[in-house]
Amino acid sequence: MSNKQRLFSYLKPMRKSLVIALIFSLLFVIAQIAQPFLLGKALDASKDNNHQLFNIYVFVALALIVLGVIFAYFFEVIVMNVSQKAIKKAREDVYQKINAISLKDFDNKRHGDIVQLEIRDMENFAAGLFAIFKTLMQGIFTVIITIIMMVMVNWILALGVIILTPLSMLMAKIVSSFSYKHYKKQSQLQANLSASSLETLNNIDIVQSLNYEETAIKEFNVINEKLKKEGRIAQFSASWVNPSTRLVNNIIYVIIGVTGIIMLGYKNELAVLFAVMSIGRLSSFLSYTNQYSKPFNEISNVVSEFENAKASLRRINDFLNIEDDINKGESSIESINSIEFKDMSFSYDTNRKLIENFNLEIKKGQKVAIVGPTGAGKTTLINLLMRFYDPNSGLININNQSNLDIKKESLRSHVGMVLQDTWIFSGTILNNIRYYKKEASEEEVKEAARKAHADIFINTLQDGYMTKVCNKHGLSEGQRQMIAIARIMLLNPELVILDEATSNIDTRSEKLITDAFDFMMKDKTSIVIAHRLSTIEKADIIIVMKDGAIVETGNHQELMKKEGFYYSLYSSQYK
Amino acid sequence: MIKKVSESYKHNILSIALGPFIKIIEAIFDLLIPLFMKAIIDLSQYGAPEDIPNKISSGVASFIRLFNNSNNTISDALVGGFIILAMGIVGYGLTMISQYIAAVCSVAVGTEVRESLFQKLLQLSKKEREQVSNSKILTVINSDTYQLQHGVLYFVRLVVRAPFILIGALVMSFILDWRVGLAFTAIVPLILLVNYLVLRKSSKGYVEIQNDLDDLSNKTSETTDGARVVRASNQQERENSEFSVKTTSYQDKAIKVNRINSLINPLTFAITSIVLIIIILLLQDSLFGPNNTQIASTIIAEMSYLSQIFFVVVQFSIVIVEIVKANVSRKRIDSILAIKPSIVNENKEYVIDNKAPLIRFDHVSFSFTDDTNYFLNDLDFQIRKGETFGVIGGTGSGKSTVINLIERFYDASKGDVLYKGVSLKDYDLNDLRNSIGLVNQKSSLFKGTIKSNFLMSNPNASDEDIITALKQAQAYDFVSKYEDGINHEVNEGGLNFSGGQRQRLCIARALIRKPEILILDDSTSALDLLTDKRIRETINSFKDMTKVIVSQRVSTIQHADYILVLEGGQVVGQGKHSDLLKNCPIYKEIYETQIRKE
Repeated sequence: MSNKQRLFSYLKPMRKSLVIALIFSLLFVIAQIAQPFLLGKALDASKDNNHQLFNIYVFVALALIVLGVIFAYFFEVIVMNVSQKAIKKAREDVYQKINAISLKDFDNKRHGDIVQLEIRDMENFAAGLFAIFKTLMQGIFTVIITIIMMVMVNWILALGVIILTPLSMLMAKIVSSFSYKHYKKQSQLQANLSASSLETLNNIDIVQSLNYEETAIKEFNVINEKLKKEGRIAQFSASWVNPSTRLVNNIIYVIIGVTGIIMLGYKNELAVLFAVMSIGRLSSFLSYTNQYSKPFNEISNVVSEFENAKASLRRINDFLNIEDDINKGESSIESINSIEFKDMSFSYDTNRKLIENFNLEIKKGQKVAIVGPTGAGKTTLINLLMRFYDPNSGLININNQSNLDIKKESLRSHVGMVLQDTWIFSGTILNNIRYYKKEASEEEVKEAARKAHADIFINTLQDGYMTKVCNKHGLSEGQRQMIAIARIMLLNPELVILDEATSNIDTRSEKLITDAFDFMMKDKTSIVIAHRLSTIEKADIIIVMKDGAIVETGNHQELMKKEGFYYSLYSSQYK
Repeated sequence: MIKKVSESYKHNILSIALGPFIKIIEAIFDLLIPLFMKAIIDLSQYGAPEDIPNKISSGVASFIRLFNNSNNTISDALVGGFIILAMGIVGYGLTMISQYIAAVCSVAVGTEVRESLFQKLLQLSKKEREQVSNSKILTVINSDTYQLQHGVLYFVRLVVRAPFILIGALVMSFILDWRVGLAFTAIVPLILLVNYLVLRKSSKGYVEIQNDLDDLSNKTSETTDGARVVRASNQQERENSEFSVKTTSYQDKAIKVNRINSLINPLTFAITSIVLIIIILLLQDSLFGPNNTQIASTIIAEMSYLSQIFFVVVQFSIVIVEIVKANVSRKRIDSILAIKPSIVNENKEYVIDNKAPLIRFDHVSFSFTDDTNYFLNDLDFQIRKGETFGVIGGTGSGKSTVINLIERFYDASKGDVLYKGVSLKDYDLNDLRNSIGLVNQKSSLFKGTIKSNFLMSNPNASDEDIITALKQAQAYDFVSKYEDGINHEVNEGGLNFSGGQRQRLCIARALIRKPEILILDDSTSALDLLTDKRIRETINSFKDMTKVIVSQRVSTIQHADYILVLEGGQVVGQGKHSDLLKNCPIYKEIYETQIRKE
């Protein structure tokens, strides 16, 4: 979908509101512009000593003010509602997209960028939409109707104003594009400076231990000085916009005023040309001159908002244009009876091989351990098994059926996994533990926590299971892992996957948790990845991986006897 | 380096005072323009200045006539128009000068304050930084300084001009017609009141909106962090509907606030229009009187003053808000600049005792808050030159704090840390830190290249030195695979490397200093055991270098010459591995749970 199509897709459902807003805007502009006209007429009526006419004009003017206020108010409210509704829809679309795209596409994005998409870009988009409606809609109406009125009042002066207008627009354009350029440079430098101070602060122990303070200050000052120069120009050029447009408008005002005064002297001659002139007309005309230039100034003020909104819309649209994850599989499975990797190859990046021609069979009830140095491809196997990624070639068969033919939801519902990085969402500990199984009762949750040995620390918290936690802070790494383990204890899945699940838990608790796992995984299929070899000695089969391939398989005793890679890994722990 | 923001004001005092003064001259021109316009109209209607009933208008008209001898209404209008234009252009020039002064001095203040803050940040000790909190320091440097700068800018540009125009326009309107003047005077508080009420009501709403926005941001950030779990547990639908609840709440609040905000424009329109009608009604008697021409020109001039008053009142409320914000920022900046760093280089005289142990903890206690609630309690041990010294303990046992005391990131609260027999409080801080190579838990690198990171550690290192250090830290095998080798790019924090690669690079970065003391603070946790062992073997071959190794893993420290066992900030055992197994039950337990032989 193109950016324009995307924009219209959000606005289309609200076209009725937009038409109403358009009408209100037109009515408000008419009411606003009629004011000087009516008051000018009133002035002229007073000159002719016509009391009755004078009163009528004043009364009509008052009535129009009341109407104008109502129109203007509802116009703004409707426009705001429309932009907010569009943004709500866009936000939800982006969020659903986050959950719908493949992890391959997802991992290519920086998390911070996605969050910015939902926050800053959406706010920019909303501000832009609001500004477009308000400034453009109202501005265009104001200009058109003011021109009509000016022509009605005196066409010669109107011609003058129309000829002089480009002058004002040109000035605004030059000044604002100049200052926009410098503002962009300035904000780039501000970002550099903030990155520099963030980096120093994040590593301040190292900076101080290396005696690097002086140099760090020098480096900071280089950017700071650049920012000073650029900031000066940016600040200065931005301050031109107001006085410059004011100057041009003043010039136009004076030219029109002086011409009008001169024309007053030739009233009778001008009347022949249908350009009637009077003091009242001059007064309304001067008001129009002021009113007429306003939309141009306003539009030039929101140019940067338009630009921002355009850039944000582009980013939002690019993200929404990412294809949803392929989920073609139709069949469901009742249980996982066998897993088979068949001549499977995979790599995250086509230039670097990772796993080549991988073969492995896991039967129901087997306890499989995968060991090997960092970067051997252990976690990647889990990613493939869970269908976070799909193989580049070869097959993964579940119950002798390609896993591509099985519904992802069906496959995943049989698996419980604990990963290296534990994810905690904002909410109570209770709800965190029952994330996989939301219908679980409080008793069941507590039972699971007991099995995970998490109840000890949970009970010391002030609010116990109702303690509010979130991903960023509140719990230590070890405590987070215990909660993740409790989740699995509660789910009690058919296939358990543990990827370094106890790496942050102190060794004493680890032993207790391992025992609980052993109990739970009895008669179940399990796949365990661990650095610490002592936790995997009991596995039925140990897969030793290195550089994406299996180098050895067997149980602990067999592998030790072999005195191969496993043996050297294992013994390095004790020497 | 400045100690207070006001010092920076003083450095720029001339600009800060001159800018507003120039603005006043410009403001006077701005106030005179409507008066000249009226005079021109009156001249065209009455023909001679003496015939104009209004004294002021008559005076201005005589002034115009000074430049025009022809007594002709057309040339009156042209000359008058020319004077107005000349005032406008001169005013524009003056404005530009003043805007330039404002830009220069505000940016100068911001730059100076930022520089001082950054210097201060590097002077502070770990303890002081922790008390202030890192995120606050960052906000002050990267946000408050701009707010302050903004405040100065507004101050110079508008703080004098806005009230001057306001009062001037009111005075002018009184002079032209006192009834209109009274009406205007009444209108100013009305506009201010409307602005104030709407802003107060909506700013409350904005706080709520901001909270909702934070909520949306947290939720998104959580979902991105938990992408795998959400998918693994088939919870996409539920997440989507939870998010939808939040967007609805945000939308409703935004719409609600806008219902109030939308009042400003229509009300402004209403007030101005009604004032215009009031003027006309007030002057109704005169309008129908004999001098009605001169009344019409008065109305034109009064309308100009009304729009000036309006503009300035709105501007003024913005200025006040900006200045209040800037003042809050100033206080925050001052509070950081006022912190006295506790750890400074005293430049004292001292004599190194080469016979003393390299490092000695002499009954050291340490507390984060300056009370007797000690985190480390009565630590007493020594580290000898050339030995490998192991420190083991669980999380929170105080291992890293011991390292921080050796680096003098902290000072001991009680007792003393001695280096070569000299108290660290007397020892030259730069010399001390130059003799230490620290690898901390975070294993973070700086943006740049591998080489630039190593040059930070040792500016004199050659490429060969760097390669040697990389080999020693088992890092050369992956670095050599890069086409650009040691010139390979390093992203912020070194996040383009895996955890294990980062740890090895950090070890190499410490080794290239050829330090007297090498400190490894839990810095091999991401390495597989084989690589870990190889690095240990290389390091142990440096006989002159003292090695301090902190770890949770027994296997990493069991071969050390001397091991310190910490728990809860206290020494619960010290000695060799074999001794500790015999007489330190905690050590024995850690050992047994980690290494179970069957």
